Amino acid sequence: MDLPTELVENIAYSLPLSDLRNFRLTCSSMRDQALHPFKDRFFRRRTITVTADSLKGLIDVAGHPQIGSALRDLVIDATPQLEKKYTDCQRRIRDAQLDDGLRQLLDIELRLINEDRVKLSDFAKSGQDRKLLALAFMVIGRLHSIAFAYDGFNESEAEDAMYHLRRAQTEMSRPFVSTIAAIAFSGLAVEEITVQNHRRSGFVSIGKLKFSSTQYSQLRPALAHLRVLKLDLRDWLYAPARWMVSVEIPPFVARFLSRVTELRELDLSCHIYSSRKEDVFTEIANMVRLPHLVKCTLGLILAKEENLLRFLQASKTSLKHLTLRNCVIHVALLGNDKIPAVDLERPGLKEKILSHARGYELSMPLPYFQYFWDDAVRA
Amino acid sequence: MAAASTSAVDPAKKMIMLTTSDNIDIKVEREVAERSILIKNLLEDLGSEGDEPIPIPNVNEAVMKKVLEWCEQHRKDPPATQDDDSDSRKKSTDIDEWDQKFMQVDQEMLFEIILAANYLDIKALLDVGCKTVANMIKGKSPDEIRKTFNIQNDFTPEEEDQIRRENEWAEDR
Repeated sequence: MDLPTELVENIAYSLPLSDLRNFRLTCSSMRDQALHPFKDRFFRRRTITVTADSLKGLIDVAGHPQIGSALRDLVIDATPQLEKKYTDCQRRIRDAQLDDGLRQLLDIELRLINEDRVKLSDFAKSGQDRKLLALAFMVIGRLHSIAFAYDGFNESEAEDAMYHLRRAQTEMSRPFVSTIAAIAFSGLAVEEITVQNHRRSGFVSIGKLKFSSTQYSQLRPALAHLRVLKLDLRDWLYAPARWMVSVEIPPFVARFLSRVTELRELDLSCHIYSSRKEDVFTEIANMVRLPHLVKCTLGLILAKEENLLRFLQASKTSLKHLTLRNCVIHVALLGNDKIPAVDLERPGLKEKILSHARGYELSMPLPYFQYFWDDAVRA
Repeated sequence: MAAASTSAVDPAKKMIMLTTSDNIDIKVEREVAERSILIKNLLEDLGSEGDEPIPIPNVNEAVMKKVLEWCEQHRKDPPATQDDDSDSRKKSTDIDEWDQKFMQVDQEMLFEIILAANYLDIKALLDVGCKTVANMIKGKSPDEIRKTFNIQNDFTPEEEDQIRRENEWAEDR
């Protein structure tokens, strides 16, 4: 085909991926001339799972001399596919009680899935996930965004919502913490760390994050480029004794936020439904100063009024948009049952908050926990 | 003013002369020729008279006539938007019926039209041409594409494996 490169590119832009793949296979000249559209359309964004195969694939792509440089946005799919498969297989075994032959086959399938589960768990426990992520990030060097995705469970799966929510919490925490640790170690420059809006059913736990202080100290330089942070934090596990050891005071969220001082946009939801101390916002107010924050969205936050105002005070000159969604702002918590005494319509509160930001939007005051499940189980 | 201008020739209908690469003069209405941004700019640079023939050294008579046939059909189309990166335009390979028929020419002519549209800066025609080629590629195996466009396979098996691997990496949105 005797056309100048720009015209071959124009043609390649019109081809669906399957045809472009075949077109690249015709000859070296076509492959070379179609390189830019191929890169531009199919390599700017990449979705990975935190598994050995996927991460090795990412390293291969990132290290490719022509294609690697196109990568801009990384999506980390934290949906626990193996767990989904496992519970689904268990369900099918229950349904197949009357069919011995089928059940035997399903038993074999379940055993194979379980072997993969063990492998995956070993992979994470040995720290291989962090190592491979860090290696990939060193090769990549710079990214525009990292977004976490987590698909919700469908109706047939959600037999025990609480069970799934716990699972969501732990499953999303691991990839998240591994990613942050890998960023700290590799020095990857990334501008946005977010959760995908349409696949936002996963949560990161507040207490149970194993992060060493050296990793925290590396975080500040590593996250110096971070401008946008969207994160959903939850903690609803009734902490058994063995967990108390790893619970950090101050909690992860405060330590993490205190190191992203260049942040322009923060979208944080944070809910605690466990034996942990509920008011993490005291620590946030103590530790976190975001002097460049322009847009701030806080959801499901329980905060003492003075703490919220102290937090906002640091962003006073920069903040333009503030949204509080299903928040409880209180003066003091009464007694041990921790039921907040005051609602958001307290006289003067709105004005006090308004004085910190020009754009202001407040959801209706909600009794504590109302609609929490709607929000938590967004699937 | 409106009454005065009726007696003058409508500038859009004014005839201009193009000289093709094989030294043939073609007379065409200015509005039709101005589908080509190159010609439009040339006319503006030369001043409003445009009595002198405009040389088009990269396009021969046969191709020029074909291109002007397209321009005539599309003379009233709204000007192309500058939105170059719009994915919808690039991805869609829909071509309207008249254009499809217009593009039913041999491959050599098809490429000549694309090259001419590119040179003359007629974006819509260029897109139709490229989409027509894209449609000739669609659904074909690498070997069928080679046959269609008379391409020689110059890959070693190792290179082919490498491309297949890269192809698998591609992530469709």
